[in-house]
Amino acid sequence: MIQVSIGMCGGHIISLQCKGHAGYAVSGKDLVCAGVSSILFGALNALDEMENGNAELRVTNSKISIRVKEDSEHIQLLLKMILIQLKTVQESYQEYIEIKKMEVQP
Amino acid sequence: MKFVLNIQFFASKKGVGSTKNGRDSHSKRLGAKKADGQFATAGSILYRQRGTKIHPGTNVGRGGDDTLFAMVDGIVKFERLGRDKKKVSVYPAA
Repeated sequence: MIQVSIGMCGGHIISLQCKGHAGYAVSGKDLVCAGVSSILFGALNALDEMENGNAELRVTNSKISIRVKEDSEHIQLLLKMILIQLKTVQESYQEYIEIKKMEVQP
Repeated sequence: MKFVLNIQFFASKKGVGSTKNGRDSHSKRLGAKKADGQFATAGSILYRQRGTKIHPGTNVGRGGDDTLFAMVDGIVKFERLGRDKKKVSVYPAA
């Protein structure tokens, strides 16, 4: 199961972390993994191009993490859209992706 | 683009290759068709085999596919043939 952890502070998204394995099918045929990977790699490139430096973007061998450094309405719009996209996948594949929100300190 | 899409980034174990095995022929139901001491009519099959695991004995014939069959009505007897071979015979009932 893919675990998505959303760090919130005062109603704003300040971090997003995604790790784990969908386990929907073997590698190469895992549709849920393909959907989530597309959303997140798209998000990474969007944040990299449109928010140059306002967000810390990190990819390790099976974890993607995004952390807001300079908050703005624009970056919140992007992050909320990413969250809605992930929720759309979760709505159809609850057993393969889990989204948790946590209140965190900035 | 800075981040190259790995569309199976969150997939579990790597796809396993397929096996080249998994084929088998249909079983041919070989083996004994009459038991020792059982009554057999002439012409009935006693033993299905490939090659001569069991050799034909008294009143027993061998078919083209090495099948052993009774040539007379009688009782089936599985016996030894020499040191390490076996044969099957049919002895007419007294």
